[in-house]
This record gives sequence, C-alpha cells and structure tokens, in this order.
Amino acid sequence: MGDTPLGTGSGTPANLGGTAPRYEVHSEQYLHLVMSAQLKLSLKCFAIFVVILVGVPLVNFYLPEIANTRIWGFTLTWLFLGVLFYPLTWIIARIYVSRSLALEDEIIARATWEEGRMNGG
Amino acid sequence: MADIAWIPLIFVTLLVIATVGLGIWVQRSVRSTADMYVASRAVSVPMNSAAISGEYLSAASLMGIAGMVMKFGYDVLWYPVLYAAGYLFLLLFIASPLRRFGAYTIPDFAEGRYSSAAFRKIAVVFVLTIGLFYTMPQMKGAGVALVNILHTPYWVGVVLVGSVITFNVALGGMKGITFVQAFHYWIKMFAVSVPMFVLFAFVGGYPGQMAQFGNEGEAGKSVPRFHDDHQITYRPVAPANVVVFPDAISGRFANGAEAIVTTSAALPPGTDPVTPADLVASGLPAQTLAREIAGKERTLYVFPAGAEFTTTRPVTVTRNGEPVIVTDPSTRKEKELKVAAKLQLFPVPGEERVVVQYARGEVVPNAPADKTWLEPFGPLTNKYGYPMLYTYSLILAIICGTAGLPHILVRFYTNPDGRTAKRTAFWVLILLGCFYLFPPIFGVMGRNAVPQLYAITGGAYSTDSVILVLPKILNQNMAYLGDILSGITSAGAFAGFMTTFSGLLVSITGALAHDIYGNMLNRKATPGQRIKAFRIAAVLAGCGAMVLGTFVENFDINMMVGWAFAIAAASYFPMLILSVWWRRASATGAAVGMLAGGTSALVAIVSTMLADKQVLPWLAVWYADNPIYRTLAEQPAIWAVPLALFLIFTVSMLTPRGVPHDVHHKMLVLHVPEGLGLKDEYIKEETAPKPAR
Repeated sequence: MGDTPLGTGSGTPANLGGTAPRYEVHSEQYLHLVMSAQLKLSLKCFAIFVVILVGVPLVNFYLPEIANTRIWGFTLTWLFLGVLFYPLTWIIARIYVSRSLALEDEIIARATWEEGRMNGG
Repeated sequence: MADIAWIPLIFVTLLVIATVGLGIWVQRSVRSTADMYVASRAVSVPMNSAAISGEYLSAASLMGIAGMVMKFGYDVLWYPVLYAAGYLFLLLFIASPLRRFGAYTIPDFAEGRYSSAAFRKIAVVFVLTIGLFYTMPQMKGAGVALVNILHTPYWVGVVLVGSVITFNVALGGMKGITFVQAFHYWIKMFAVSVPMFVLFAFVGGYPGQMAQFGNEGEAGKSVPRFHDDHQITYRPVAPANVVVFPDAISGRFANGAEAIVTTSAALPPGTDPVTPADLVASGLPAQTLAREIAGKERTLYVFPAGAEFTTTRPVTVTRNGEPVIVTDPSTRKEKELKVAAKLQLFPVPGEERVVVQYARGEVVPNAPADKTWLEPFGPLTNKYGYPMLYTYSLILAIICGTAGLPHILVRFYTNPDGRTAKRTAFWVLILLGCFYLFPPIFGVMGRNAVPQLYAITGGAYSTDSVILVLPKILNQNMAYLGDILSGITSAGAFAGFMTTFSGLLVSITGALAHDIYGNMLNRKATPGQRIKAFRIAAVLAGCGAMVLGTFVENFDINMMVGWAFAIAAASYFPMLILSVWWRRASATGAAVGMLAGGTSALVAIVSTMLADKQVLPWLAVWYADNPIYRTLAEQPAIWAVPLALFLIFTVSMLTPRGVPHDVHHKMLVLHVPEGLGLKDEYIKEETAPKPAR
C-alpha cells in the first residue's frame, strides 16, 4: 500500500510537471518549496481533525438533543466517537500518504544539481 | 490457594514461554549495535506496523480504557479516539522528517539538530523521566493482574513481567523486541476481539447492549443493580475504602466496620447542615470513637459484626428550609442540589479488611445513573464543574503527548527510510483503529453484566478488572467457556504490560547506554563494548523499574499514565514540532521551552497528588475552593503546551546566534526525499550498508 504511482491520490497537488520551475537542490527556494508543500498538505489533512476535535465537544454541549439522539441503540455522539471515528482516520491517512509520496516524487523531479545530475540512491 | 484460576494461568504461562523463546531465537541473529538500537533500520512495513501498534497498546489501553468506560461512560471514549488521532498527528508532522534525520535516540536528534552537546543532556533527563513514569503503571497492571489470576502477592507479577522483558531486551535489543512486539500485537488483537465475538453470540451485540441504557426521563435515572448476592472486601486504603451510595442501599457489615459518614459532595456555605443521621436510614450505632485522619479530628461510627445498614436516598440540601437550586455545569439546567451518603470504611481492631455483603437486587454503590453515564460531560470531565475546559485540555494532552513519547518516536528509526516511515504509520492507524473498537465494548457490557465491580473503586477487583471478569459470565452457558475466554483476555493483558515495558526499556536503555555511556562517558567505545554496555544498562534499568514498580501498588494506573503524557506533551512535543518545521529555532530557545514546559506540567500534576494524598492539607483546601485551578493543575496541557511553544519562539528570537550555522543543510536532510541521494544518517554504522550516492 502507499506505492501509488504519481497522480492517483485524489486530486494531485498543483500540476508541477515539466513547465514548473526547477531549483538547485541547495538553494533557498528549493528548501522553501519542499517544506511548504509538505506542510500545506499536512495542515490540510489535520484541519479536518481540528474541526472534529473542537467541534464534537461544542455540539455535545450546545446541541445535546442532537448529540444524544438514539440511533441503532447508540447515541449519535457515542456512535461517532466509539465507532465511526476510526475509519475516518484511515481515510485521511490514506489520502495523506498517497499524496505525500506523490509530492516527494515531484520534489525529486524539480531538483537540479550544480555539477550535473547525480545518481539518486 | 484453592481458587487459583488454572485456565488463565496456563494461557499466561504459554505466552511467557513463547515470548522468552522468541527472544532467544531472534538473539542468534543480533550482531551489531545497529541491531540493538534500531534493528539495523531494516524492519519491513508489515512487521514494523504490528510492532509499533503492539508497543503502543499498553495495559492502559486494554484494561484501563475498558475499566474507565465502565466507570465513567462516554467521556472516556476520548482516550482511544485521541490515542489514534495523536498517532495521525505524528504521521502528518513528525514521522518521516524524524526518520530522515537518522539518529538512534531522541537525544541524538536534539543534539544533532542544534549542534549542541548540552541539549543532549537535557533531552536524556526527559527520556528517563517520561520512561520511568510510563513504566510504573505497566508494572502495577502486571502485579494487579497476577493477583487476580494466582492470588500471589502483588510484587510477583511485577518481578515476572520485569525479568522476562529485561531478559529479552538484554539479549536482542530493538531487533529482539521488534519480533516480540509484532507477535504481541496479534495476541492482543485476538484477546480483545475473539472473546467479545463469543460474548456477542451469547448476550447480544454492541447496539443491543447500548440500547439497554436509557437517557430519557425516568429511564435515564436507572442505576445498575447486583445480579447476585455479593460480598465486597474493602481494604483501608483511600480511595478503595470510600463508598458512595447513590440510592437507598442495604448491606451487612460481615465483620464489623468503623465508618466515617459524610455527604458525597461538600455543601455550599450557609446551607442547613446534613448530619450523618440524615444519611443512614437504619440509624447509627451508639458506639462512636474519635480519631485523627489526615490532620482532622473525625468521628467514626462503630458497626458491630453482622450489623445491617440502609442508606437514605440522596438528600435535598436546604438553606433556611428552602431547597438550594444549582445549575448543572454540563446540562446548564437548574435543579435541586442533592447529596448522597458517603462512607469511608476502616476495619475494627483485629481485622484487616471490611467485608460488606449486598443482596441480589440492591443498587450497586458508586455507580453513576444511566443518563450521566451515557451522555457527554459525565463524572469524569464534570468532576470539578468545568467540563468543557477539562475535555479540551484532555484532548490537547493526549494528542501532543502521543507525539512526544520517546519510546514511540524511537521506533520510527527502525524504518528503512522516510517513505516507509509514512507507509508504516498509515498501517499502524489501521491496526490501532481495529483494536480500539473493542475495549469500550467491554466497559459497556461490564455495566450490564458484572455491575458488582462498581462497588469498590480501586485495586484488583474494581472496574479495572472488567476484561478479566466479564468473560467468566459465560461459565453458566457452557462449562469452562468463560474461564477459557478469561484466560485469553488475561494473556492479552499480559502482552500489554510486556510489550509496552519492552519498548520503554529499549528507550531507557538507549538513553543510558548510547547517550550517557557512548556519548558522554566513553566516546571511543568499540562496537563490542557498546553492545556490552547496552546489555548492562538494560539489566540495570530493568531492575530499577522492578524496584519502583513494587512501590506503586496504591497509585492509580491512569493517574501515572496521565503524568507521562502531560510531561511529554509539554516537553518533547513543542521541541520536536518546532525543530522539524521552524528553521529559526535556537538551541537555547528549544532547551528553555522544553525544560520550562515539562517541569511546570510535572509540578502541577504532582501538586494535585500531594493535595489528594493529604501531604499538603492546605493545598487540598485551596484546590477544593478553586475548582478551576484544580482542573488546570490536573490537566495542565492546555496552558503548559502553549507556554512551551511561546518560550521556544521568544527565546529563539532573542538568541539568533544559537541557530546552528548549517541549519539549511539540516532542514534539507529532514525534509528532502531519499531519492535525491542526500541521505545522511546522523549515526552511521560500520556494519550497515553505505547509503548509495
């Protein structure tokens, strides 16, 4: 798993293919590109969890009639935290890993070397 | 010793033999220090994800969550959810950069990232502190579980688990325990799922169990009742001897008792007094005695052997004859303030314990009513009247704490590269999620099937033992079926203590042998000397942990785990996240933030313990008067984590010279994929294959 070829992650990050600028590996711009691309992806994925972790207590507190509606024996909020939350982590992690690995391939493609290309490991 | 639980004993023995056998088998292939510390960085994704999950699922996740869900209800669901979310956080922000740096231990990373040998020393102190705090609850769990199975003294379980794992770690190091931890993950998954599916077949599924709890009107007020006559033994140790009677409950003191009778909650000032006579409907015994307990003169009522008692229903508190109206902090509805009877029991002279007999059909003491149990902001988060604050602080503590536990982080170094580190973390989430579905179900089913566990709040026969006790109800359906399933869950619990302890021991040993011996005492040690140092350090740390473990019998497992998480959240987490993502962090800034955050969280938590144990009675009084500070001290993450981040930020801005001059290169190593050939392991090993360039 996770060996997804470039582009199968749902919605490939910005098309950086051949037209995108390339930078020298040790340059400031290149490091900035690498860090900000990965950080943006991580922050996007984590934002979903921030919404859940901040939101669930708020719903429980201010909308108890919704949170405590009985569904299939459970209360809605119990069903969410006790059961449905875990598959959600899997989906987010799956999306993150495939897109992050695709991003790494692009990062490699956008590197140039001063003294000609070196062979990667 | 007639009632030794033979079947669980057989399962646990088999597990111990398999664990030792696996350790010896793996040991034959251990050749280098890289094997010992990071399993030569060659652990495959399936093996490593099972090993990480195995290490992560401690006694606290298995016995602790099941027991706490039974005891407190909904609020406890946050624990497994946050353990999983914390792991996701680790995947998103820390896993692969940390692996790409290529160190052996977290202090290596601290030193390497900031080119500062002094930083390594600070980091080592925190590895040891967090490691030991996290070790003690595992030890306590092992001791308590063995008391349940074998009725041995408490220390036997501690020494058994301690010596098996110390042996394994000393022999095989990280490589040895990787196999054992992966094996133990599957044991735990089996132990938590198979008995549950069998229970489903006999007593009904998860939704059916949940449907038995009401939250509307009168149904929400129902409380668990004893299914049989039960005899509960209270030892005179707080909090195990404190019993709250939420309803009119009758019982019989089989061997007598001396009891302090108080209200379940302190009365607000100015209210009419509620006397002990108002709380005990059957009348108080004539004989009383006065004794000083925790610095206060208390009246004890002496119940003779065989005395029966009945408590009153909760009493409405009045002021000048009018009922006192309060706002419930969790529902924000006004209601009459009611208090129940609370008895603190001490044995009469000549007895060691108080034995209370409850008849079938009586309401179980200490049990919360259905509605408070089922709905959010129940007895756990609403303890001090600030349920939202408590919930958010808990969320922050566990998410950040997970991302700062050194023994979890160190496992990422066993991945071959950053890409596999990401894929491993993804599979870990799947394995953890499958596991975490089950412990709360034990709690739910326990509330329905074995409510007698509520009757005592601490020790080997409290709700903490629900996973061991619950399967036994099936003995009435089929002979030995319940014992066999209980044997399986016992083996799972033991796997929990053993794997987590083994991970902690590798991380503590790494700190001692690699960071202290190898990098401070003897920098020129040969590979042979380093392996020897690792083994000696493992034995020393293992013995130290066993000795400490025997002292913590009366500490609460969750309290100790909470310490470890809060310290990790306020020390390592801020340091790691800023080191990985912020180039301008300086050595001084990171060190000051980590030290101040970790220390202040530790001080806050220890202060609540000193107050609870009545070491500082004035502090206990002050906390009782200021519940908001009490909440903040018990759950310090909500202020300690921002404090540490703020300190790292400001001090780094003030000390720009502390930023390493080659920070650009360091950040490249942290973030650039291996495919570019920049790979530069911080610790290079002679026997490891050279990275291709």
